[in-house]
Amino acid sequence: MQEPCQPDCRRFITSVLVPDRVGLLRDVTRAVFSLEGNIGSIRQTVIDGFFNLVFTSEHPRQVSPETLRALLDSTLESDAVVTVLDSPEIKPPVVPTGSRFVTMTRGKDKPGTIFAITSFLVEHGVNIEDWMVEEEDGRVVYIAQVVVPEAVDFRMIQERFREAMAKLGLTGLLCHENIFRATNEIGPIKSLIGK
Amino acid sequence: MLARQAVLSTIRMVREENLDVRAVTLGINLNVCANPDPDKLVKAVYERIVEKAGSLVRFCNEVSDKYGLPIVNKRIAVSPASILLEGHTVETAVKLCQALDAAAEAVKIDLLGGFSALVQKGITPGERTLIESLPQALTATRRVCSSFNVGTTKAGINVDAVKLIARKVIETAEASRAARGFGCAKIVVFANMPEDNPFMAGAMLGPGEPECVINVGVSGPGVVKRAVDRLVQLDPEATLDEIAEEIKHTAFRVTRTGELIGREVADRLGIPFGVVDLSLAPTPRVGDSVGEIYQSMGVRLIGAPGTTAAVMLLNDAVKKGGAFASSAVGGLSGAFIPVMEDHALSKAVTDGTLTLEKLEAMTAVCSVGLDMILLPGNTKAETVAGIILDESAIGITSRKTTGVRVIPVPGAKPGEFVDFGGLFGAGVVTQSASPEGAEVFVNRGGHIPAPIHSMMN
Repeated sequence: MQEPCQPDCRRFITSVLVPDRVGLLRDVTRAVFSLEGNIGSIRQTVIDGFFNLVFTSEHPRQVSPETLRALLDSTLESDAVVTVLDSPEIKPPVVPTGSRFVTMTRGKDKPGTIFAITSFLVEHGVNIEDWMVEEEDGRVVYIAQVVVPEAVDFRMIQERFREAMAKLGLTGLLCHENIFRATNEIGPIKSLIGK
Repeated sequence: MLARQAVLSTIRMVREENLDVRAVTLGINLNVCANPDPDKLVKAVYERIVEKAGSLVRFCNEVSDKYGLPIVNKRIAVSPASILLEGHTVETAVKLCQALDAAAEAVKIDLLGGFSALVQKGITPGERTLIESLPQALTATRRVCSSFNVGTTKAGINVDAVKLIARKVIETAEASRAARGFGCAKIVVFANMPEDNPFMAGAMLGPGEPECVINVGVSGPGVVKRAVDRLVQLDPEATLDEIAEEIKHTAFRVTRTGELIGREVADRLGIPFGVVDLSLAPTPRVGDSVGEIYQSMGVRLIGAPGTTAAVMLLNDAVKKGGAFASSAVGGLSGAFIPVMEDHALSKAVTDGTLTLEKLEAMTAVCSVGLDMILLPGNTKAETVAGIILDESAIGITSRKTTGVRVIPVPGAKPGEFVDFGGLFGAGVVTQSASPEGAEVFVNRGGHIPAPIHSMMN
């Protein structure tokens, strides 16, 4: 998380969507640098051949969001979709705090599955922090990192999630993220207990 | 943020490869219950176990749900009961065993270990009382397991203790004749017995351990078998070092899982966490067999030349993966080869490819011992004693644990099928190529001195 913006600076949040090619991230960051920008948070993925980038940057006050967008538009391909928003302050998250769990849903790929999963999670106050999709043996696997509010009985959600997914012909699983940390990281297990 | 492959591989281990935690065992020291009054003694023992273990099953179930991972067995290991029996009679020993049984039932666990004595150098009156009580105590109870340490690399082997215990094994078999000698399935005789073993029938809370502690036994062999199967499917020409590497990586994950579960249960109980025991403990279920791992490696007929090397490879790879995963590795941490509890081993004995002598060789390369082996009804105490002495000799010379759990089946002949049901499994009665002929040697008694390499200081 970035510190609050300096009085003589402005912070933007920018998203870029464009068919992938070599050098895109360099081109974007060169544009930001040329406007004396400093990148804070950044996340880049490629989905079905589309380069997808979200980042925040701080610039001198005289730089406007329109200036940055115009520069990126001229730097990138004509079919690139660029959005730059003014982000003057860091707002505290409005999502609940709680324990981090992972949901896994596996089954036949069909329309409405993600909607069903996300609807279930919303109904139970569970916030999605990350979402991944994988194909495995002809089946689609949705993996979500979620936060289950402290006040909620995770065993109840676990059971209901399993049942709700089973009604859709899917296998649903909800378990605490520490099992994945324990099996894939090398730090002491002791450090995971109580988190 | 978790990596996609990390999540997928762990989920695959849980959903498809039977990743679980095989045993969460609560150790409880009972020495504070010592009392010259037999009634006060057994009452104190019962109450202490119920007080300390009352929440064990509930906490295990909560942790199991939290991680979506089964905890197969929840158990208790107490400090050696022989300590409580100094100055008491056999009758009190039986009452004590019944109190342990009742306490185990009250806290909803299936097995409790620690009706035990450490007699590697000598036998105290209390220890003798406990040993003498075995036939009666183990047939009057269902959940209590008994174990003995008859030798160590430092002390040598107490042959007098071996003779006495062997005689009681025969008497226990006879006392449980109606159950085909099942009482003996709850007796294990060790050399170099570990003090923090979470697995039955040898679990006990040894001297030097905390007042209460949680020890954990890692997942069963199914997850390792599937890892080897997957490797061989991807690369049918996989070499043995590649198989060892695959097992090592799997053992790392399995060990970390065990430690996570154990530490969380210990945390909830407010007691220390002890060790993760890396032993792969099979059950009679297909897909949950140590023998199947050897078959996956390419040992088509278990017992064929090469089997002992396969045992060694498996043990070593599991230990290397486990040792990197955790600084709290302990217990037995060796491959179990309990014949009746492992359908592939049991079948190999039935088919005649796996003999008692080959099993003994396998125990020399770090499997834990001759375990769950059915013997004919006419087996003599001297034969049982000889088997224990041979295994102990391997253990103390190799500076490792070895154990013997044999069941002479009253009235049964070699080749006869016996089924104990449940986790104890089934198999056929087998015997040594030469079951008799060492009686004079065994009956000399006394003490086999410690090997020269015991003098390490």
